[in-house]
Amino acid sequence: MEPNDLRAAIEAILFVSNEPVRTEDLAEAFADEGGLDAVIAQLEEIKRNVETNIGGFMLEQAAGGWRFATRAEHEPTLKKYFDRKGQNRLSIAALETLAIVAYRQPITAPEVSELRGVNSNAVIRTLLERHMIRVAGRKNVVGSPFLYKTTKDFLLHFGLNDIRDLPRLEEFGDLIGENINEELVAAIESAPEPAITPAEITEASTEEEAAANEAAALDELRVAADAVQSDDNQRE
Amino acid sequence: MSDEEIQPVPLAEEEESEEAYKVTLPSFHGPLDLLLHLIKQHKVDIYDIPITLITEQYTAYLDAMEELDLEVAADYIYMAALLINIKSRMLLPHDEEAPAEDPRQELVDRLLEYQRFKAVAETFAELDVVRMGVWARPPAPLPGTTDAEIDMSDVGLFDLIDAFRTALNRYKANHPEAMELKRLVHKISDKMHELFEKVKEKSPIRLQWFLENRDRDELIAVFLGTLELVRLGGISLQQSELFGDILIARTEKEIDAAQFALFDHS
Repeated sequence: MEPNDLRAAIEAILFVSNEPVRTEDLAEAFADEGGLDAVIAQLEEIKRNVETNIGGFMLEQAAGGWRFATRAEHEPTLKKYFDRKGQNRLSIAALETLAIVAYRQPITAPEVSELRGVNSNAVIRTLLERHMIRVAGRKNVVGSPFLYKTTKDFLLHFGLNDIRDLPRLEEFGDLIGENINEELVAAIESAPEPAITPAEITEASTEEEAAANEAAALDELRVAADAVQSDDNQRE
Repeated sequence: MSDEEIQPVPLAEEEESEEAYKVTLPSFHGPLDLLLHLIKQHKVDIYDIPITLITEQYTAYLDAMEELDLEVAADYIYMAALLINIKSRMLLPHDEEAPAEDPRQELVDRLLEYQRFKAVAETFAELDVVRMGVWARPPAPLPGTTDAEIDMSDVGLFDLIDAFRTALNRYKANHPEAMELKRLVHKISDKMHELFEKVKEKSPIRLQWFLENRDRDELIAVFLGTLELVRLGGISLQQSELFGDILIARTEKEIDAAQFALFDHS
């Protein structure tokens, strides 16, 4: 296959695929045509072509794969044509909570509330409903609270290829005080992160156990869901 | 109530903390946010927070909120208590030889950490706006795909709950709850007869006496029956003083007891 044909073939796959196409999958599919290196070269080429054209869409790397998506400046046109209002922007409270989950995942609701200094249960529910975060098991502490993780939708929405693409948290440490005590900053930054070791997370070892966990989670969340529903009713 | 934005800001130049506060409403997202704002506003060193000044300012905000009739969330009050606790610990004499840990340290750590997340949130906010405009093609079935292939990998707990809730609501709509219809135990007409006979024997009688020793359902029937009799003109009610006994007296008018059954609608 000529490089041009390979590029065209990849383009066809990208066009049809329902979700971001993983580079490794393409490499496997075109193993005889040069594999990973050739595939990456052609992906870059497609990206360059689309960018030079400044057309309606772009090729982006998000959530671990490649996909065509519209360029942001066409939003007004699309909204008007398809008569869509679009989603509401996330509130500051929701964004703060999302930031904490993104950097500290998996994390429980009480831990988020502690970091924010405010009860965050309602915001967590909103984020669950917006599919920005999801339940990722329970933590082995008193009350076995749910652990939350960011989702693939989160990566797609924010145009991130991988959660590791997030800038290091320390880079956000832009401080208020003029005279920063360097020693203290160093002390704080070298302090061990309160990361969760795998031992602290309940892992279902059997299928029955997994099913039981799921049922229990549903049970607990029903309360949350009911609350949401009664909110809705009030609005009506 | 956790996340509403409670947000008074003193406009006065705060050299003297005794000043009266004017209040405007920018937005805070919790006690830590408010503290950061105060630290910035007073240009104080976050590593050497003048705890007395900040505590005063902080509580002044809470007072202002109350004055505005905003409900001060428990989270804010908790922080006020924490500040006062730190303040009092600062006043304790400490050993010069073995310097104790700064009582403010834990709060400073929390503030710094919160500040980072706040900065991330601001970046996310900008991205949120831009990325809202990036649309991808919605998934469509590929040619030759059969229905049997359902991708469950991305189905989260909340999707299941949503589906369950929808199904439940539909079921509820189609299956209205069973209603228990109670047999009519106390007929209004019976009570009308009873009362009418009573006042024929003796008039007037006390309503209170007539109502004694009856259960709730019966009381309702008696009450309605009494009103109907008054309307028909067979009896009259009298009350000599406010909240006084109500007397039931027979009137001159003759009424046909046969029509009482008409009032047994239920």
